[in-house]
Amino acid sequence: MWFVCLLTALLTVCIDFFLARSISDLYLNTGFLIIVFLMIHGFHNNALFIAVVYGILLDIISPISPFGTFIIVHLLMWLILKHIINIFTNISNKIFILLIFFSSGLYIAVLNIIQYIGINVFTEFSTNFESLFSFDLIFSSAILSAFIVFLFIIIAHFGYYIFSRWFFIK
Amino acid sequence: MRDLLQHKSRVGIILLIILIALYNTTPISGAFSIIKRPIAWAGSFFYSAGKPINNFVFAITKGTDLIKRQEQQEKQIVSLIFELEQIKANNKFYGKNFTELSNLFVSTIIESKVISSQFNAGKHIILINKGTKDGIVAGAPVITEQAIFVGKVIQVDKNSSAILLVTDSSSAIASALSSDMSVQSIVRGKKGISLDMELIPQDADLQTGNIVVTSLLEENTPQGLLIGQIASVKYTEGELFKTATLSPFVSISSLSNVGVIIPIDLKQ
Repeated sequence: MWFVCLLTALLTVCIDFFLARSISDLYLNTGFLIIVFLMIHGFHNNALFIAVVYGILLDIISPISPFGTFIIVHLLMWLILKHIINIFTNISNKIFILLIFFSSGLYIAVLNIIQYIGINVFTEFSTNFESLFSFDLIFSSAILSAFIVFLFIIIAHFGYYIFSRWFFIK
Repeated sequence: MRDLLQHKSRVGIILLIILIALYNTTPISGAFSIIKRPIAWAGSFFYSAGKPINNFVFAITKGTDLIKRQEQQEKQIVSLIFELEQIKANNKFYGKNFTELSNLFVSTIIESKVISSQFNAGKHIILINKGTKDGIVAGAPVITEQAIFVGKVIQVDKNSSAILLVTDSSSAIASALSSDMSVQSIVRGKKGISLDMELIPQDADLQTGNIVVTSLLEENTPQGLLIGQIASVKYTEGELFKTATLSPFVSISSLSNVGVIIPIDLKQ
């Protein structure tokens, strides 16, 4: 299971950091979505492992940001999710997608703020808040995350329908 | 031991804090470059895979615009051919490859592959697959094979380097007009998409379409590398200097191979 989690973390880094960046400037948060998904289903330790590995890998490959920035962000995110994950359960799909939209936006915003502090305090580089904090980008990225979850829900429903029709109803 | 296992989350967090402290204060970071290489390798595969998807998405979302633009561009081609002849006449680097360019600059040019481009922490950066192991040093200029200035190396690891793009807001490059190298100015990046030319003397004769190149005043950078083309000139009565907006010659999405110029005095 841990090996699967390790591979998942590596795959999500490749998707979020390399694949998504070659397509557009938007942040793609498959790592965050997988962590939320695992926590909703009670796999808290696996989610923590993925969050830490995802953070370490991003810290290793990300230029400029001081090592530790992404580990701290993802640990923090896991800790917050651990306490609020109940609000993601037993709700309608519409509210769930809305929650994903807001939480993704918040995740990117926190990530940017901690990166801003990390870069300006711990490295020789400096960055200004205006160029770092783009509401348009955060808004569009949050919409993208919500859209991915929406697609996932549709595929899951359709898959369940086909599966039950083929295997359980004659 | 049982207590330790019961509190494994806390132990894990303490170990991570120790790792972060050691990474930032001791040479342990060198060991992590071993991990970085396979990730960069896998990442470059994903980055290359994203290009066709990018083209596909672009075709779907902007297909109609593309047809209109094609019609406009066909009309522009004729005038551009004329401009190209002017560029050829002004640009002694035109049509050269990296090997020929390195001979011209009397420097080493390290050819590298772009493995990721990103808007990271407010900076527009590309990552390349060459690092200190290959002789890359911080401050080295980066160009395309057409001698277009891309940016400068700002951070180097063993196997990869980060390049701050010329279009980034924190980038400032000493520049000159290709037609009149005595017209010196500063080119600043603008939100990662365009360029502003500042501190242009009032008496300078600037025209839309003029080519702007790197100046001799730019540290570690050969003179005459292409930066952009003047799109508009702004002059306010009473101000000391003119400003101009430049169109960059190259977009980040089209970058796949770049060359890092290592001047002799920057060599390790």
